[in-house]
Amino acid sequence: MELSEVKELSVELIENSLLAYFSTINSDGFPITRALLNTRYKERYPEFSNFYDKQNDKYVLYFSTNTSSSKIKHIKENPKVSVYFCDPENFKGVLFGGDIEIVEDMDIKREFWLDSSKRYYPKGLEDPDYTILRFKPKSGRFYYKLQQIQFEV
Amino acid sequence: MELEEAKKLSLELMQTSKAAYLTTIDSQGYPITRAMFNLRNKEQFPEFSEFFAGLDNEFEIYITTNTSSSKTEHIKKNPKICVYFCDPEDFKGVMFGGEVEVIDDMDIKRKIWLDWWTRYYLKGLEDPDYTLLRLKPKMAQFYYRLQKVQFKPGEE
Repeated sequence: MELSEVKELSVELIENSLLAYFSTINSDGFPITRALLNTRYKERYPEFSNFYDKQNDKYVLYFSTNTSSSKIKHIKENPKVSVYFCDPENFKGVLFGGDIEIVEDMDIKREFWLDSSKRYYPKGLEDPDYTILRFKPKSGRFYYKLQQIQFEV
Repeated sequence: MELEEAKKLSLELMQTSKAAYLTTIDSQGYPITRAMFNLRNKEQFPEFSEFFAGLDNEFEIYITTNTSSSKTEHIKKNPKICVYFCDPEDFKGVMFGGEVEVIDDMDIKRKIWLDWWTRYYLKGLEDPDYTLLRLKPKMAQFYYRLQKVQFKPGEE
């Protein structure tokens, strides 16, 4: 499989996955994985596609989460994370690794704010429990059936 | 949500999840996740239902892999792993954490073997590239929508 094809299929998978499997490492050194809503999923979040289209990094990912969640505690101690997208029916998956950042920039936080976000952050956009994470992956790994292809992001 | 309810739903999820998401830690300390066969999925692997029903610890997880794979390399250096099962449509998930073991016992390996797996392990059951992993989980975290319930698997 050509590298260009791998990259194209990876972006396709990102844009068509409802969930992203997000892994952090806890204070005891164990990996912790959970599913998060994928803000790049075009069908569910058409509101964000414009924002993503304007980014230089075509693999950049943003996640919203509660400041009080365990993942925030983990990443403050250890920013190493991975994000995995997959299509289990077709044995296709892509994994990104790198260090994650907490975004303080209100303009970006506003970009990812939706009316429905109030369900999670009752005080609104300024709720101190509202956190946006930015992930600029360093490496990618594409899995297809028995193949595994690594690429630099 | 009651603990018993969370445990029951977790077992159900293990039997229906389309894949088991295995996370290991690589030599640079990064988590690495990939989808593996969920051998407890009753529809995909009905052959193993009886084996799993007979386990002392109902949350034990078995995963087959190539000895030459990167995950085998990771766990030799660091056995800390987690395995995640989920139902994406219903925002339901369960994660198990603990230290994984490599199973060398041929009696167990024989029970977790299917003939068509020669596609992955050319030499069959005895292929040195066939590795069986077992996780006796120490902790579990069940997620349902905005709820999260932690429990110790295998403890009454």
